[in-house]
Amino acid sequence: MRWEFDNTRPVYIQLCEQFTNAIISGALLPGEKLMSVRDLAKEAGVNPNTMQKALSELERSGLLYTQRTAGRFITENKEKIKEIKQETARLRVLQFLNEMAQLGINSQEIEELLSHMKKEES
Amino acid sequence: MKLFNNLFAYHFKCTARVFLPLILGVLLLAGFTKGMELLSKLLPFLTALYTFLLIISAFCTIGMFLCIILLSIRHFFRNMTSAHGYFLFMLPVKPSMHLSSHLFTYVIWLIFAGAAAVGCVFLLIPNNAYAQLGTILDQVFAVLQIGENRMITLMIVMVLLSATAFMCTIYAAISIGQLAKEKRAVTSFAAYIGIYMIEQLLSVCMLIVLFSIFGMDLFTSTAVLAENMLLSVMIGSSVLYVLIGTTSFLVANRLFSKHLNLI
Amino acid sequence: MTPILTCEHLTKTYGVFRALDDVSFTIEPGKIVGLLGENGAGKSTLLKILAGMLTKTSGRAQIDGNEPGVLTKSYVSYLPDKSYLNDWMKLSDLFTLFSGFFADFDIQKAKEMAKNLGLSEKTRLKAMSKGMQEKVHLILTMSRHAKLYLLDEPIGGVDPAARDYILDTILTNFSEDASILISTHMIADVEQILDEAIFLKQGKLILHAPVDELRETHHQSVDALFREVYRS
Repeated sequence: MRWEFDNTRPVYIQLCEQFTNAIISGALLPGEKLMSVRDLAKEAGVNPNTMQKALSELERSGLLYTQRTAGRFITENKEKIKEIKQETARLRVLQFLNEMAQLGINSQEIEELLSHMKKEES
Repeated sequence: MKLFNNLFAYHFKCTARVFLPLILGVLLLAGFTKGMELLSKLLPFLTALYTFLLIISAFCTIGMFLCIILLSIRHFFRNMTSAHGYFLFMLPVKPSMHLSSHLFTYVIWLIFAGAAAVGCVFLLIPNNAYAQLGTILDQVFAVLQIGENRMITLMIVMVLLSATAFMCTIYAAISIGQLAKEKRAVTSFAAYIGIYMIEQLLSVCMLIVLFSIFGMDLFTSTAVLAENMLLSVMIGSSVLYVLIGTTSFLVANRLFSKHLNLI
Repeated sequence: MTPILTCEHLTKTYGVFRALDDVSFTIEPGKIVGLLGENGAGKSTLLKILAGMLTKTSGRAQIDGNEPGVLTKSYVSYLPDKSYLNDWMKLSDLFTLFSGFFADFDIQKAKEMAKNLGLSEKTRLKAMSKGMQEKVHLILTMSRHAKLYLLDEPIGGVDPAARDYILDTILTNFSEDASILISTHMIADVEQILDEAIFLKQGKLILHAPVDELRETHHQSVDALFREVYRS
């Protein structure tokens, strides 16, 4: 079982993204304990040093914390998670709006499209 | 010491796969021939078959030595220069130990083969010829006026030294051959020719030296002179073998240590 | 931290032909480094010199402070690119053989890896498929607790499943005190597990850098970057 990576971008950044996504989506729960670096690296199919770098980055951004003897854990700070979730959402929406603009679709057309799709759903 | 034991065990195991059946086969054949000899006395029509077997057995006994020597060379060449060389040379073992373990295995098999050959000779000699053989040997030793035991021991030592020195020169030749990038077997063979010529040159020198010590009067057939002459030649040859063997070993060791070229 | 491997102006010539030309680099412990290059670039030659299978022409190579020799062979584990074991040997024979010669050989680990592959210890090498033989060779190499592992084209010519197994095994056996040098021309398949990459071209070292750094700087995979660099 190997995670998919885009070899044109640094792998550690992609690992950060994957972990971040898992945390904000709830796939990884707050306070959950992570496997060791080696086990994580093996499961992901990446170099342990790369995994270590990604985890250090995540710690720096506050999504993980290390307890010296106990191991690594997902932060229990739900506020923080929410903050990052909203930031991620915001960036994605911006990206989406950019792409729509490039296609020549304005914001009114987008709103119409969205409400149309919402009606279809219910 | 542990490493040497492991190496020897490894080489012995590898070679035993062929050598053991070979030696046992030759002994069995000789035994079978003996049986046929006895049987042919009861059933005379088997005499032709017996004679045929006797000839085959004799050739096989000699061929056994040839096989052991040639296959030992092949074993060394394969182990030290082909892909199999990766295994031996990745071991934390000095090249000198690779040489000595191969050599030791070879000598052990020669001794086994020698014992088997003696067994074959006794089996192959027709029953009525045993007495004659004893008489012939006694006469030979009487002429030379050398104690039988001393002679036999010296001869065995000489044969072993000669065989060992020969193998050492082969090792040296192969060590030179592996320096080449291609056609390594051919290069080894050419190197061996060169070494052989040097050997012959040294032998001739030795004989000249010995003859001059004893005076060029080869035709004096006093028994005492002949005995000393023979002994000197044998001892001189032995010394030469040791010299050639040691030098070859050192050359091979040097080349495998400092100029290893595994492809 | 003292480097586990240092090469200084390492050169190997065969007459006029320069198989390795003034190669210098350093590797710290705990790294997985890719030795990348086309066939004939000098990768095998470099590994053989480090493993003590070839003698250099000039320059210096030091593995944990010692030149390649009898001592380094006790803590360097080398996987050649060819089959080098007697194929009539059984798996159990091979395990016994390796434990007898290498003090750092972990026979329990080897047995377990073989069991995971579904191999019986009584199986002879020649009775196994080529892919299985390659895995066995890898097991023997990686079961040693060495300081430096030199793997020459471990994934060349194997099917994708075997390749995944090999890369997994390499990752599992990773240790912070040891480094692994993997030579390959199949860069795309291996770049995910690498820390650093060394590019060799016609015997010369043309690049040595951390892999993620290369990606960040050039916005390409290491494979694509190599092709670009190689063409120039």
